[in-house]
Amino acid sequence: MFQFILKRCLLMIPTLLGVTIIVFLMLQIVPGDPVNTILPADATEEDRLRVEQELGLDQPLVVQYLSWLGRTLEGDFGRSIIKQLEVGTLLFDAMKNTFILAIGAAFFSFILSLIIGVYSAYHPKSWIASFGNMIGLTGVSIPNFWAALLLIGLFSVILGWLPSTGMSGVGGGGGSFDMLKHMILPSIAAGMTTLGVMTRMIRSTVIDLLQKDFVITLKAKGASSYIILMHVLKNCTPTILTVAGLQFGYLIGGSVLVETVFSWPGVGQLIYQAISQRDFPIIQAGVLMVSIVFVLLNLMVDLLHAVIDPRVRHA
Amino acid sequence: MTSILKLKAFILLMITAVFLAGCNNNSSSSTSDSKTLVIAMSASNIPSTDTTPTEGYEGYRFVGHQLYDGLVNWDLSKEDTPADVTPGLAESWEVSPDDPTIWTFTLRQDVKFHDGTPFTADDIIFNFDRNKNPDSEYYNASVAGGVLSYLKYIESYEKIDDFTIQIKTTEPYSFLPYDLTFIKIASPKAIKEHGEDYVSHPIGTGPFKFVNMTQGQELTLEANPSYWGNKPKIDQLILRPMPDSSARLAALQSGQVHWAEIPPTESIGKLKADGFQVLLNEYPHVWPYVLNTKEGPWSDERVRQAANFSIDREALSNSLLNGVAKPATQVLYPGHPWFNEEVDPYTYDPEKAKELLAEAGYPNGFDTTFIVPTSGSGNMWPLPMNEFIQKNFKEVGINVTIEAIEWQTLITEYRAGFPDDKEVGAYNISLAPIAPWTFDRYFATSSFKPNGVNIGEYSNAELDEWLKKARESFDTAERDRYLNEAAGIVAEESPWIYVVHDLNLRVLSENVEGFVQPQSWFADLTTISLE
Repeated sequence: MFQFILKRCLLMIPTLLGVTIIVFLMLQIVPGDPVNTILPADATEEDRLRVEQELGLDQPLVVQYLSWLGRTLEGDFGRSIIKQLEVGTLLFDAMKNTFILAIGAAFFSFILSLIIGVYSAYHPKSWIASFGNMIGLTGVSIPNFWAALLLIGLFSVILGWLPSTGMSGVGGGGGSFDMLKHMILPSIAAGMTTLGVMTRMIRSTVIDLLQKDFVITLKAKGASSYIILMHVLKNCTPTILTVAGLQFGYLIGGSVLVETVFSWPGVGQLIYQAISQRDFPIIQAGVLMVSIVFVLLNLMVDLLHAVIDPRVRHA
Repeated sequence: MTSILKLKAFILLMITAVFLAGCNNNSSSSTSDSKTLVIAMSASNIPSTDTTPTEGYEGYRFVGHQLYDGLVNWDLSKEDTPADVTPGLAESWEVSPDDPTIWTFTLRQDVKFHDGTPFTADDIIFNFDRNKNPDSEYYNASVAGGVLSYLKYIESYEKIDDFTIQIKTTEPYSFLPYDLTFIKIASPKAIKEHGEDYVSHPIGTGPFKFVNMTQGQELTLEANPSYWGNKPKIDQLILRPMPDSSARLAALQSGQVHWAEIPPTESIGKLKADGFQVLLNEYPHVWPYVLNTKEGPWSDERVRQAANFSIDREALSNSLLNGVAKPATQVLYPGHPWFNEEVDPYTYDPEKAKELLAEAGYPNGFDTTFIVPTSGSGNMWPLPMNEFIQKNFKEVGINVTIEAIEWQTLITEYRAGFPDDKEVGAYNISLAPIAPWTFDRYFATSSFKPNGVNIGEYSNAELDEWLKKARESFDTAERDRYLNEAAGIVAEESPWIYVVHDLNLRVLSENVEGFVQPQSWFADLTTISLE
């Protein structure tokens, strides 16, 4: 087991190094640099060159990359060129907010998809099954920013039940209950796709399992339907876990659109805005951080697999 | 089976409970505190709180001009005339009669920074050094970059006594006060104390003080009770960045904010019916195509005029844009001192456009490429607008290929000028003709790159002459007369295709009182009270 973890951790290093190099090179290929964001629209080319030099952006690529890598390894992500704040703090806060949203979305979508998926596998002709079908289809096909706007229209504007913007009421808001209220709509909007994907997947997996010999054997032995369900659930856990892990990864990667619509200050929004301002330090550190989280999540899913399924452990 | 049902019922119940718990009180109560004004900005980020705000003029509007003063400020108290400059930290200034490059500014003596330190001439020198003198200890390249085009004409500056400073310009330059509105004065004590972290502790002299900032969420300012000018009537000002227009609309409609910048134009009717204050006013904004007058078909004046005659600006403004813009036929709008009444305005006249094209040797039209942004400050709704105009051009035979690129990329390419290796006829980029230097920067021969952004390399000796006179004229009426002549030439020869002027759409909730929508990119928030 220990060897397994060690091997996976070592494999992470080239992956992450590759990510940083790709991001760094991409930033150089894309036209524009932070200097253009700083300068007023009518500043001249001459002005641009001067500021570029003053910010050290005219250095050779290799020098820029290595000095960035060196500082990053020391844990110093540097300072945002545009916001002038420490990238580490900015990213940490944004990551925290994204985690909160991702957990909300996962909570909403995982539980609901499990219920709908399993139920509709058992009762393929029930209205819940039809509803599940509909969710499976719309969840993945409705763009989530559109779902977000519909939710805002209904719950914030017409009914006035839930706030549509930010993580808290104005002026800091009122604690965790306030945040819970602000979380509901973005969580649903961000979780829609996951809900669709997982509902379909769980339903088909359970249907599949229900036709397996072991279920027939259990039935023949007179096992209660509850016991059969437990056996089925245990057998579909690895599949669910794989998909759920990936989905959670996507949620962490940042639902940029949902975050934008709800003004949710998450990491997706932070990186997206940094890209539009060419704020290199944030983009580099941000992508790196999201990659680390993604890779770690994958690792965790694999480990959980090994824990649940002995076949994986011995393979 | 029953146990599954129970389990299911329990989970469903729990979810419902959580959901209902979240719904039980009305979210609009959050703005019920009557002394706090909440604004939904269209910016994606909270503008930097340093003396050079980010997020363009919106940054100056809500943050820069609120936290800080310049030696000179904008007078934003009138809605019927374009905003002009007014004394700020300098109560008066004069130009030496012997040498028009020497300006003497007399400073206010009753001003204190938000941290209580009294304001003197040393503070001006410190801030000028921070922006202009790379050798000074506190020089900040990022901050300086944002204002370098406003410091271009300043050769030197010095303190005469505690409340007098002298500025020497590189040549006689009467537009200096306009430039100085962008040079904000921060407390040297705070800059020295907080160093790189200054943006988290900004200290100015403006009508509002910094309270706190939650990155990506909100910036809270509070009234400065000892402000030297009109003191704010509200206690607190909360700024929230909301780049999505539908999100701003929803926040306004559900009472989470009092003020929304540019909600979707389709919503105007409904908002008016619901009692919201829908504000529109002219201001120095123009949405043009900056043409390549150096080479290709656009180097012919008649072709440029033809293009100007082929746009149905009324339909564009009223149908496509729901009346939030007005047709533009010059750089400025009718009623502005720099709008030339004598030039025949460009109307929608495709026949005349075809005639002009034929005269210029293009009876069958021609193909050209326009580089346009996909979004960006002041660019309004670039894609639908460009597609509309593309159809107009097609009717007269000008076949435009639209190349839509991301805003920062466009800015970069625009600054570098028209490419040599491919045909580009124009850049679509919105510019803000807010100060007398407008014509200089965009049309003067001396503003060819790399010295300026006359990237189309339009040149007219007569225009240059008028502009020189304007720069050297220290009498406002006389200066405006020269600029008016300049505007006439630029309208006639049209190095740009003028399309529309935006009308600065913003919507306020019913209980916001006392706000004047000025003819400016900026806004005075001190006059506002909440019912």
